[in-house]
Amino acid sequence: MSGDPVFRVIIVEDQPLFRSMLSDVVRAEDGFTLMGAAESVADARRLIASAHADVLLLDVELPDGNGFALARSVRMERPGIGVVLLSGHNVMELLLSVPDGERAGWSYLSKFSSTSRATLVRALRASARGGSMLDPELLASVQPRRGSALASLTPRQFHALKLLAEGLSNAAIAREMSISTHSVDNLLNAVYTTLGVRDDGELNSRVAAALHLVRDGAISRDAV
Amino acid sequence: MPAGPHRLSARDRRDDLRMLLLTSGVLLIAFAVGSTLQTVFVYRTEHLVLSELTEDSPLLGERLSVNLIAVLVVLLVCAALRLTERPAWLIAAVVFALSVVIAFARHALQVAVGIYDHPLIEVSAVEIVTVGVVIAVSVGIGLAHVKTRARLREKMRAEADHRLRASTALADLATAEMRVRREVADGLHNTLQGRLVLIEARIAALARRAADDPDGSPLHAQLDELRRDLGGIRERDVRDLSHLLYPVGVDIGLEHALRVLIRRVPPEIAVSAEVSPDAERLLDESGGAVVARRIALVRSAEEGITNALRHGAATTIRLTVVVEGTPPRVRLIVEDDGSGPPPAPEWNGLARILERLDLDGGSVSLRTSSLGGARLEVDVPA
Repeated sequence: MSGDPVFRVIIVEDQPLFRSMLSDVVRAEDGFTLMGAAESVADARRLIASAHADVLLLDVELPDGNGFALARSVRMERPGIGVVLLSGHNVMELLLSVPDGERAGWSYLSKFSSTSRATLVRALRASARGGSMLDPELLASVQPRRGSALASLTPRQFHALKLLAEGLSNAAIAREMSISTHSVDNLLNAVYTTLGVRDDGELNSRVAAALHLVRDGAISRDAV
Repeated sequence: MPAGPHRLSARDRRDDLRMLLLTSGVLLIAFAVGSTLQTVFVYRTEHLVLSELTEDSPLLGERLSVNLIAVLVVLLVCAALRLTERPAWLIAAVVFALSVVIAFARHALQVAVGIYDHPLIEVSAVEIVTVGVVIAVSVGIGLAHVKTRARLREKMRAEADHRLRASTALADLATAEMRVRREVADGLHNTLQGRLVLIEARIAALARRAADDPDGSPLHAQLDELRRDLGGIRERDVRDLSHLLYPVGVDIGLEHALRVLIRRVPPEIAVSAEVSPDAERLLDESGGAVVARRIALVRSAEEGITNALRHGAATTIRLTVVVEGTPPRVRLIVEDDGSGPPPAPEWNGLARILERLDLDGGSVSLRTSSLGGARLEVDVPA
C-alpha cells in the first residue's frame, strides 16, 4: 500500500528450514524489507549492529544463547525496536519479566502459528508499530483461573481482553464483537479496573492487561 | 611458593621449626632443671628443707644457669640452621656435632664458673657423654615428633584434596548430564518440533488445495485428520518427552519454570507461585549443579501439585520459594487445602527426587498445612 511505512525486519532463527520459510514470508510481503537473517546470538548481534531494523523476529531457543535475553539487551540500546518472539514451547511467561514501562512492542508467537502468513505478518506489523500481539491460538485455550482477578471478569469482558491481547485495536474489537467502539471502551475500562491496571491511554497498559492472561490464565492440557 | 606434597609452604616450615623448638626445648629444660636438682638430691641424703636449698648448695644458681645457657644455645643453633628443612644426613651430622660441641662447652663453662675444680677425667667424661646423649635424644625426639606431625598433615591434606576432587568430578558430571539433557531436549523440541511444524503446514496447504477441488473433499478430511494427529504428537508426545528431560523454562529461571508449570493446572484450581527475589538470585547460575537444583525444585513442585490434585482433592495450591538460614538454603513449599498428607505417604515420585536431593545435601518433609491439606517442604543448599 502506498503511503504506509516499510518495516525493516531482521530474522534470528537457527533452523535453516524455518529460517528460509520465515524469510520467504517477509520478502514476499508488501510493506516489509528483510534486512538479513541470522542463525545465532553472535550472528544476530553483528547483523543488528550493522543493519538498522524496525522489528526483530527472534527464536527464543538459539544454539549459543537465548533469544529473549538478546532482545532485552538490544532494547536497552534501542528502546523503539519491535520484537516478535517465536518458540516451539509455550513460554509466553517470558514477557512477564519485561519491566512495566517497556512492554510495548513485544509480541509472542508459537512456531506453529508463525507458519500462518497472516498471523506472522500481523505480529510483525503490531510490534513494528510499538504494539503487541500474543499468539491467538495459545490465547484461545486460555481460561480464567479460579481465585485470580481474571475470574472476576464477565465472559464479555474476558472476550474483549483476549481480542486486545491478540493485538486488535478498539475499532477491530468492536467489529469482532459486533458492538460499538464506545461499548468497547467501556468494556475495557471495566477490565482495567478489575485487573488493577492503570489506563494511561498508552500501549503499555494494554500489554499489562494482556499479560494478566499469561499470569493468571490456565490452559487446557491439549493446547500447545 | 605453591604448597604441595614435596614443597612445603612457608607457613608449614615455620610451624615445623616451632614444633621442634617446643618439643626439644621442653625436654632439654626438663633435663636441665632435673639434673641441677639431682645434684642436690644425690649429695643431700638428709631431710631436705626448701629454704635451706640455696644455702646448702651455693652453686645451685650457677649450675642452673649453665644448663639453661646450654639449652638456649642448642635451640638457637637449631633455629638458625632451620634444622627441620635440611636433608636427613645433614640433620644427623648437625645433631651429632651440636651434641659434642655443646657438651664440651657446657663442661668447660662449669669448670670456669667453679662448679668443678680440677675434676677427674672420669667425672668430666660422664658429664660430657651424658649431656651429649641428652641433647642428641631431645633434639631427636623433637625431630621425630615434627616428622610424625608432617606425615599426618600430608595425609589430611591428601584426604581433603581427594574429597575436593571427588566433589568437582561430581559437579562436572552434573554439568555434563545437564548439557546432554539440554541438547537432547533442544533437539526434540527445536529440530524435531520445527520439522513437524513445517510438515503440518504443508499438509494444511495440501488440505486447503484439496478443499478447493470439488472431488477432493474426502481427501481434505483425511489430510486434516492427519495434520491434527501429527499436531497431537508434536504438542503432547514430543513436548512431554522434552519436558521430562529438561523442564521447560528452567534455563530462564526458577520462577519462570514454575509459572510454565502451574499454567497447566486446571482452571478450577486456584494455584499461585511466589518466588522470593533472593531465591531466584541464589539459584541463578548456569552451572550444572545449580541447574540440577532448579530442576529438582521444579520436579518437586510438579510432584507436590500432582499429589495435591490426585490424592488430596485440593482446590487451592500455593507454591512459595524462600531463602532460609545460614548458610542459606532455598526452600520450596507446596501447600494445599485438600485432605492432607496420607497416614503412610507413598513417596513414589518424590523418592527419586529425594535420592538426588540427598546426594546434594537437600531434604524433603511432608506434614499438615495451615490451609488444611498437605504441606510439602523441599530444601536444597543455595
